Amino acid sequence: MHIHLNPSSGVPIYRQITDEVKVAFLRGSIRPGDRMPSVRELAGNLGINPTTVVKAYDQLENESLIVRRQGQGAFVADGMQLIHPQALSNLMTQAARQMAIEGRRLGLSEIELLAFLQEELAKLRPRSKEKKK
Amino acid sequence: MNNVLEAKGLTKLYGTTQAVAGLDWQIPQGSACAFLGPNGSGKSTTLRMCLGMTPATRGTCQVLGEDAWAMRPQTRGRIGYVSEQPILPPWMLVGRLVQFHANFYPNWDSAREKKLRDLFEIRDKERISNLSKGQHRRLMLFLALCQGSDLLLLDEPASGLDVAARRQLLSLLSDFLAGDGKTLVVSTHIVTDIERIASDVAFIQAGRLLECASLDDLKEQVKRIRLPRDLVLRAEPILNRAGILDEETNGAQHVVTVREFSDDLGHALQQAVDNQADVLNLSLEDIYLAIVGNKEAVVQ
Repeated sequence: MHIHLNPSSGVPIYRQITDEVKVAFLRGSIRPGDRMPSVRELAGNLGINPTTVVKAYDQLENESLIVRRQGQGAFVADGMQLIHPQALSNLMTQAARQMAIEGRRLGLSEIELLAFLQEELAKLRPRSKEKKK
Repeated sequence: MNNVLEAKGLTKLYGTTQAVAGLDWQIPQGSACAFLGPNGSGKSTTLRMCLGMTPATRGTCQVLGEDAWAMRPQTRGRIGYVSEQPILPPWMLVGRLVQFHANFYPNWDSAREKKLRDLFEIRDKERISNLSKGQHRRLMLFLALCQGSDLLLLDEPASGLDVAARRQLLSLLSDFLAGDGKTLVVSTHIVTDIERIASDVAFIQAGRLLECASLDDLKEQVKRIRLPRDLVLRAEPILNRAGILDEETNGAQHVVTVREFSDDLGHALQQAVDNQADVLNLSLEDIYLAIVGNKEAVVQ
């Protein structure tokens, strides 16, 4: 599982971790039953405070997305399968909100804003047979 | 919670200059506190008083339960310190100094010493006077990390380190904090580094503590709000409740930074301005500038 952090984004780091774990699930890079990295390991790799990882894991455990087993560490829980709609909508709301705010700041109309979105979507569409960079 | 450090009215005068002016500061055990402030704001002097390296003119400072100025050597031995200035004896060989420290500190961590030797490029035969400034600092960090300290006080530990070494340092500090009840205090200019590791932040200016709070709380409470200029009057009563740190008008837009934002306040605000307000998250650097920057300029 790769966790990407942007410490200066203004979003508390523990929330970035919980979001990244959900994204990792939605992308299919973790599945129920998988072992989560240990607190020490994840904190060391990311160069962050171990208590931040503990806080993120606490949160995930509260949401029944991971389970901790005595002496074995944390594992992705079956509950993760249920997050799909809600987590997806939360994550997309954030991204859409960002776009809406930026669009308004630049004085774009709704139609113009949607056009940008469509344009970006078109770029991401796989071209037939052509290899993307 | 147990406080590892407790300063009350801590004051330091150099002649008539107040370097530290009645500082009240508590650091609970287990926290990782970033100590931030402009040059000459009293960070180093404060840390030196906490170590009993310089006496306070007034006030008290309790560290690990003892008065800093009358600390027993055993207690002093539980504190690791990296100073801003190179302070290791220049005439000594690196190897001898490491040996000396290992004998001096009862909790010296030989396993960690072995692990970190290569990483810190410790060369026993080198004389300390021949080390570069960066190498000198790395050696100080190496010693502090191997001491098995319960409290680490680092004064600008990252200056003179390159990007990779700074990232490495963060990993090592993360590892240190994973130990039981370890406490870290770091004074630094490199706000983006410390943003990763700090649980708490203390802002100092002109020898006074302006703010001491959990970093997560700060990030959730300090927000910048952008709204059309003609709606300022409608927003003002609500913004005033949130403690305005600074505000400015850029053309048709008004930008306000507040200290105490909350979801409730956000709802009230959007209602008042018909959803025309943009609420922006701030980085630690932005927060620092909003809180420290808006006070009168410091006279150094």
